[in-house]
Amino acid sequence: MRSEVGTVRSTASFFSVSPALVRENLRRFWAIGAFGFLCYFFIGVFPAVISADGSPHYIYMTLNMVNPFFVFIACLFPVIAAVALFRYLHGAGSASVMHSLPFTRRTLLNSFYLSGFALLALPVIAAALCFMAALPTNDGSSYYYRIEGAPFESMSAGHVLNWLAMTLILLLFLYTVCVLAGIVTGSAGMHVVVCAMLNALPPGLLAIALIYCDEFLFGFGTGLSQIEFATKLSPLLLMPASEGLPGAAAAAAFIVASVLLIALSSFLYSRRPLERAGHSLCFRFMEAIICCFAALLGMTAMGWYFYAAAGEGRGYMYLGMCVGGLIAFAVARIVVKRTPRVLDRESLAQLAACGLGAVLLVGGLNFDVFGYGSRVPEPGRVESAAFNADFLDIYQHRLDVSASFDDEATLRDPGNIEAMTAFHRRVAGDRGALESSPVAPRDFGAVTQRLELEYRLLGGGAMLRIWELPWEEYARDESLGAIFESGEFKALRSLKRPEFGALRSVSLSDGEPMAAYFGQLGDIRLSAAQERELLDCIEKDMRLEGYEQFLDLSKPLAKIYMVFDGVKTDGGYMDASVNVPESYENTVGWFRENGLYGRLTAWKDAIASIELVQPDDGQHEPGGAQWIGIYDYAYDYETQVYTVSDLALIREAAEQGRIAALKPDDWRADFRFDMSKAVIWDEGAYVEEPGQAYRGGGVALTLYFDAGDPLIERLLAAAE
Amino acid sequence: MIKVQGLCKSFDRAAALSSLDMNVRRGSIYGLIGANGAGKTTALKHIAGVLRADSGLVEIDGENVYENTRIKERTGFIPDDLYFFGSYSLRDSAAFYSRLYPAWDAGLCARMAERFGLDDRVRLSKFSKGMRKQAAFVLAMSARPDCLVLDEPIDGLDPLARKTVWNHVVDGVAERGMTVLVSSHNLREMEGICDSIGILSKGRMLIERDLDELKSDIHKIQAAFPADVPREGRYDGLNVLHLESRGAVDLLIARNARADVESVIRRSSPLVFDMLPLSLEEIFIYEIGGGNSEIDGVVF
Repeated sequence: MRSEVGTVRSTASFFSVSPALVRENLRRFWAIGAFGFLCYFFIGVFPAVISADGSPHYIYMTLNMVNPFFVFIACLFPVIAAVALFRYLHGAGSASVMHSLPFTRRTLLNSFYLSGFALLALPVIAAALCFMAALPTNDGSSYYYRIEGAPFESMSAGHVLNWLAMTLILLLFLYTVCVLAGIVTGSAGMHVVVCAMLNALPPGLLAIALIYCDEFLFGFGTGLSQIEFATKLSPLLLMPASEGLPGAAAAAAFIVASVLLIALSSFLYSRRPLERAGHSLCFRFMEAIICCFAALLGMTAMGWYFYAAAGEGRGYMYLGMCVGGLIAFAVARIVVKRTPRVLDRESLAQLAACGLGAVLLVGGLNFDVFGYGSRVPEPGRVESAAFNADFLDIYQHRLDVSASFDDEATLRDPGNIEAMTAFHRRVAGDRGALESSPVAPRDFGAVTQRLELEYRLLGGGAMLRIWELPWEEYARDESLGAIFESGEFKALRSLKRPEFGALRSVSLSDGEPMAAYFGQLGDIRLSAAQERELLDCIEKDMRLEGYEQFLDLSKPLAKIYMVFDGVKTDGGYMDASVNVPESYENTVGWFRENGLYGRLTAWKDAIASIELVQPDDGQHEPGGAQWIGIYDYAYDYETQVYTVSDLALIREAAEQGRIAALKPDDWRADFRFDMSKAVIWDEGAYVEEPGQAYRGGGVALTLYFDAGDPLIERLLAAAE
Repeated sequence: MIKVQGLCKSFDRAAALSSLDMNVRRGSIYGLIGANGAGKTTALKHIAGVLRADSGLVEIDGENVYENTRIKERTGFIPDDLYFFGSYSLRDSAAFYSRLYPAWDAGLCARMAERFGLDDRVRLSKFSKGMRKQAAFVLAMSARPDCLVLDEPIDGLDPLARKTVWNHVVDGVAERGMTVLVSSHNLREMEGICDSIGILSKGRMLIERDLDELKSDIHKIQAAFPADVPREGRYDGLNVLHLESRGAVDLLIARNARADVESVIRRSSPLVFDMLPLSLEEIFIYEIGGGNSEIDGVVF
């Protein structure tokens, strides 16, 4: 028997490639590579080279794959290459001729795959060589740019090679997906469509899954934000979102995924029914998958659209799901069958299967058949429990630390873990009440607050729950109180914890915006010894602070801003601000001893008048719950302003200004609480910021009152 | 050489081939004929290794054809629906094919191109349909295949080109013992070139015979008898496929050996006796169409 010509076989023949075919393909489709190089050169290399000193940001964008043009090219060319190379599969004649040639299907696939990737890779390699040639030679290897306050970025040989490697990996992945699309489709048009679909499929499916889980599973949460997590599944989304080249782990994942996809492509190619060239899809099972996927997409989009449009109640959501699913299924069926006559038994059977799947999906999630929402770990199995400590401190802002500092409190003390699981059990048990509450968890920004709780379990594993809880009700939970008062939690919030280095400076105010006018406290210079004394007092008061005391919402006496050396920030700093309440005995005592207390409370005597604002939009009854003090809201309408000049009453208002209660059924559930405020004016006062001077050049001081506070009625009675 | 056994293939649940059997002898020219949609192209694509069978056997020289590059290197296939690489000339295509087929004959390629009058530097996409067919034939023959599978090879060719094609085919068979499997609706030309015939109907092989044997076994007969010869029993002993009378003359088709037909007819001392062999086209029409009235007018 004669030997095979033009075909190289490995022993396993899995990597069988025909050099003759590869050479022929490169010859036939050289224009793709040439055009690709021109794009890379003129969009990336050329601008970077001619403005190396003047446009470092452009180089940064290009080499980090966040240049949108580069990303577009990287996404476009794999589609072009795959559609051009594998077009032979989509015509009856071409498929017949190519498969009658002395190649196995695997050889054909491998050869065309390799040819296409070469056409994609060679231009990138050439562009990288141009980048390398453009590297400055004055300092030998590299030079640096500062990019808008970000860390130094360099255009070095290593950086170019890194860009090259990552670009090749991303092209490999995208091209492999496009090849798979070509194998399952029967026409070039559908090939392009399925290329886009497959590339968007993983993040799309994940996003849909997360949408459903988020809506139906009580306490559902992911470790990353949903969008961030979804973007990691596709380089199309990852590149623009990552603000820099994906890391080695992502690169390895894409390589592994590419290998798996090409293995799948090889398997499907070996079973591809060539006679279906010209059809939309080559595999009949794909028709059902595409239609079901379209139905899922349609039912989700229409369901949530109805949900949003109707405002409340899931009935409209379910109606939208039915309508959207039906329409999307019919459209998809028409597309894959290429005929509008799709009302047949097969279509109805598939539709019924899709409907059943949708019912199982929504019903299963709705009834929580796997007990996701009610599952609480046994305390003995929990290694640690971390939660966002700002859940407790969201309104009083007793302690704010640097934005860069992780505010997550990780509890390891068995007592605290037990308390946290008890709290978790309470929330899980209240599911029905929480979901039927007028302040539904999804009504962000009212009196609910997001609580994220993540357990690390012994023996590995994690468990995350995220709730949007009525703050007033849950913040006063005994278990949380026990945690707050525990030594472990106090240590986590200590201003002397290891992350804080030496104290650099301390400044005081009596709270914004009055510092600008009254206090000038920032001008008071404390000695280093005084600063340390003040820090010690604050630390002592924070240690002694009880939970009830902590939750008090009265206007703080003072705000203290401190700057420390940053231990972990490499020359940076850590800052913290503390709102000091009147109940901080040690700190208030220190103010008194150092003559500052009077200045901190002087604002109460400086108020000349109070203005109460009434919206005049015809929707609010005078004296009604929404009548008073919706400052920002009212300003959008014709308003009636009532001015109070009774100094005794003003003084009383200043003393009592506080949030008395935040109730779930309170009218303020519809607004952020800080919109329910009375505005107190000091006429003719010094104005520092124009934004504060829209009425009479006064400085506005905002105090918060409960809507039912009797003082409001008295203020109105005294108004002119 | 070519053996097809129990070959089944369905397209979207519609059976295109149903347990097809076929045997092509080495060095023969086998004509595969059948009505539109009978499954000819599907059968040829299986034999060329293009399609994967649902079930059944397709062998050339005892080896399974599908995914067998050794067999494909020795097989030339010209589908009805031609395909060439875009922007390629005959010369470019020949250069590519020369790297794929070990028995490639560049000289033959050049001679055939010249004989067909094809400019091998012109893009194939610029060629007319007939010229493209000729170019495909040149490429297939230049590979010097042991087995040549042709699907409508002369469709769109002028008479001169058709004659040239058949000459090359016959030469290949005569010189190298090439086996040719050809499908065409031009039955008159098939009749002149084929050794064997397979008639395909609804995915099954209806008749598969040597052409001479096929033609010698079926006859078109006109006979008239004296009035005293009773109508009944005149043709006892004959396998009469069709019989009609026009006045005193009987027109019939019988599938029997020539000697048997003569013996039976002459037994009744016919006044008129004329026996003609059926053409391939007539056989095809009769076999495919059966004895219905529409066919009658075509055959007689």
